[in-house]
Amino acid sequence: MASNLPVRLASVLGVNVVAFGAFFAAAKFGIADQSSLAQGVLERLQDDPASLQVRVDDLAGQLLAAGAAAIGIAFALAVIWLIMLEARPPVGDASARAKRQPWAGLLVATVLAASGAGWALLINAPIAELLASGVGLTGIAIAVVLAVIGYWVGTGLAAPRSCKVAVPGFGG
Amino acid sequence: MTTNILIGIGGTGAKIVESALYVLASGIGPADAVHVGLIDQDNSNGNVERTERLLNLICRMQQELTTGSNKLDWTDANEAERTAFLSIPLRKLFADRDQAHWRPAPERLTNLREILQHDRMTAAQRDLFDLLFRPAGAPEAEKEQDLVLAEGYRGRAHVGSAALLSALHDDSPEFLTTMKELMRNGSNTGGEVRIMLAGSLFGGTGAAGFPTVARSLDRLRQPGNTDRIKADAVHIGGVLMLPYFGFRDPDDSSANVITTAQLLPQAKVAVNYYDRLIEQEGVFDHLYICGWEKMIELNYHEPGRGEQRNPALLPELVAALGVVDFFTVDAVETRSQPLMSARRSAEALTWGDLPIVDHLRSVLFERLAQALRFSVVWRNLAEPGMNDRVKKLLSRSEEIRSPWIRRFTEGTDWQGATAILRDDLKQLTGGMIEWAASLRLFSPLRLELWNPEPLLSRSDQNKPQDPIDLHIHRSEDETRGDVTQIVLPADPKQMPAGSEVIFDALSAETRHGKSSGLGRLIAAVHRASRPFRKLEQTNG
Repeated sequence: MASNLPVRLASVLGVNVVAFGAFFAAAKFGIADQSSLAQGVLERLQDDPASLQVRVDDLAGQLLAAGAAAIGIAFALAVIWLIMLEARPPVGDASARAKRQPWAGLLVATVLAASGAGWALLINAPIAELLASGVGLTGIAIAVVLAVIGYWVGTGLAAPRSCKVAVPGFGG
Repeated sequence: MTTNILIGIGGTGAKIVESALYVLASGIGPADAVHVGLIDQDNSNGNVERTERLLNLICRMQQELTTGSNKLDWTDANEAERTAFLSIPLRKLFADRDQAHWRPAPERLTNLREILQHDRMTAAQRDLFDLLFRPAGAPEAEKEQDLVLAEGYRGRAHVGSAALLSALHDDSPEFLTTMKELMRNGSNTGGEVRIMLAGSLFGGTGAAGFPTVARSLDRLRQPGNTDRIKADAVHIGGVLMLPYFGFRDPDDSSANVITTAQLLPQAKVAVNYYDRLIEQEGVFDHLYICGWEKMIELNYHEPGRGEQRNPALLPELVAALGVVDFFTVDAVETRSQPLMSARRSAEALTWGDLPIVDHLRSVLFERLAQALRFSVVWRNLAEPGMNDRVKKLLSRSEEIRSPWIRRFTEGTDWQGATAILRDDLKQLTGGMIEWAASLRLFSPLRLELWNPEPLLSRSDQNKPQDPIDLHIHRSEDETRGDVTQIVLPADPKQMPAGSEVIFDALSAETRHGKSSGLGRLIAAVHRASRPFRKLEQTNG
């Protein structure tokens, strides 16, 4: 291989850190504010800004946990794919293209696992009672999209040149 | 600059040249061009035809890769960038006629009586002629004066020698004319001329032609010659085969052909003769003699013509290494002491046993191994990959599906010269694998140089005229085994790089020096096929 596995893994990590950075920015500065809290919570705590801020901070923390879980899963699955390539590298174009099947399988697994993590941390969690309608789903959607991007770009950039053809958009 | 000339005399000479051509095509040999000629009276001898076809193929490819639109960069100062494959320029001996084969007696002169103009001889000359050669009307198996020479000299070296002398100096002077010109031009430009003759000292054409041609050339280089040939700049070498293969005796016992039982006594007489030729006349500066302790039996007998198509045999590779040695040795000096070469094991032959000077041993292994691996990768991956095309979305035309082939062949005009070059490459790589397979199939001992068997769809020792067929298609998984097995490493602990390393290198490689068109792909595949490719060598 033209470069070794640790370098590839570091590349994937880098891409996913950037994805998490994007999620952090979206969560912290786009979602985690008072407007994302449920109407009842806002009414109950309208005279207690400090408590309101605590709820907002709780929301931000939970969103970041969901994002970290989703993008962490993407990173882990990307690493698994790269290790699979290392273990059984392609010997020709057909076997290189065949690497797309496990790549796609792990992508679906990323979506499912990231959605599951989001559901567990934002929908099926005590914090759900504090959230305005749709905030949880929005948080999950952003986390899943960024997890998918992290997985896709990470594998695309870190894959050996011989396997790039397995990652859509990187196989030129 | 050295003018190298390689001349194969007779069927065995042609087979030595065939092995030498594969070795030279792999990039093992001199830096300067090698002029190649073949001498055989038998115009359609299968061995000569096969070698001539190979030479034509290589010359055509080199022409296209040098001056055509598909250039291959052999000149890069950086050795790592340079492609060794086909880098040694090969020329046909008769460049003006675009031919390598010289047929001594013209077609109209069918036997010795006609060649020596029996009808114009005086009575005394006729008597002498009858004394030396069996007169016309002798039984078929003993014919000499009226032996039809269209099928070669058929073991009658003295008949061949007389016919050849007549041809050299009278009937077909173009051979000596060409040789004089090459010797004159080569020796007067400050360089050397190295002439290597290859042939057998058994059989007919080789046994007759080898000493006759050598003597004629030696006379041309004598000091004070009238052809302005610088005597001390011309060196003559020879590679002679002792009997190393035999045919089944012919079904017709009266047939006028040489049998295996006649080979050894004939060779013994010839060895004594050569001893005198070397000691007394000093015709050869270097003489390489190659034999084998066991005769390789070929299960057929054909007197000549196209049917005499013997498979490539291991001793011919050993002889070809003599050719390489003669063309690459720093200085050709007459040696009075013979140098010997022997194997380490009685049962097997390994890379370490091949007789070649130490500084060329690793080059021999690396380049021959690289050429064989290139042949496999080219046939299994590159060639089918060029045909695997898809029509992209929103695109009118089809494009090559493989990213690395697409990248290397960008801008290639796929018609005309490129299509011919692809066909030629397919033939050359296939021929190389078949040659290697034939050496192994008929080897009298365990050949631990290479193993092309997985690539063969058929191999049959009982059909020596057509012993091998290659698989038409190989899958990628099969290629994995083909690439690693084709070369058996000199050190069993050091396995050659596998097909995954080759594919990774091809996918990552972007450099191609000054190569263009299909030349870029050839350079890349050849480079990636090095047996011991180190990791991290590509720039991708």
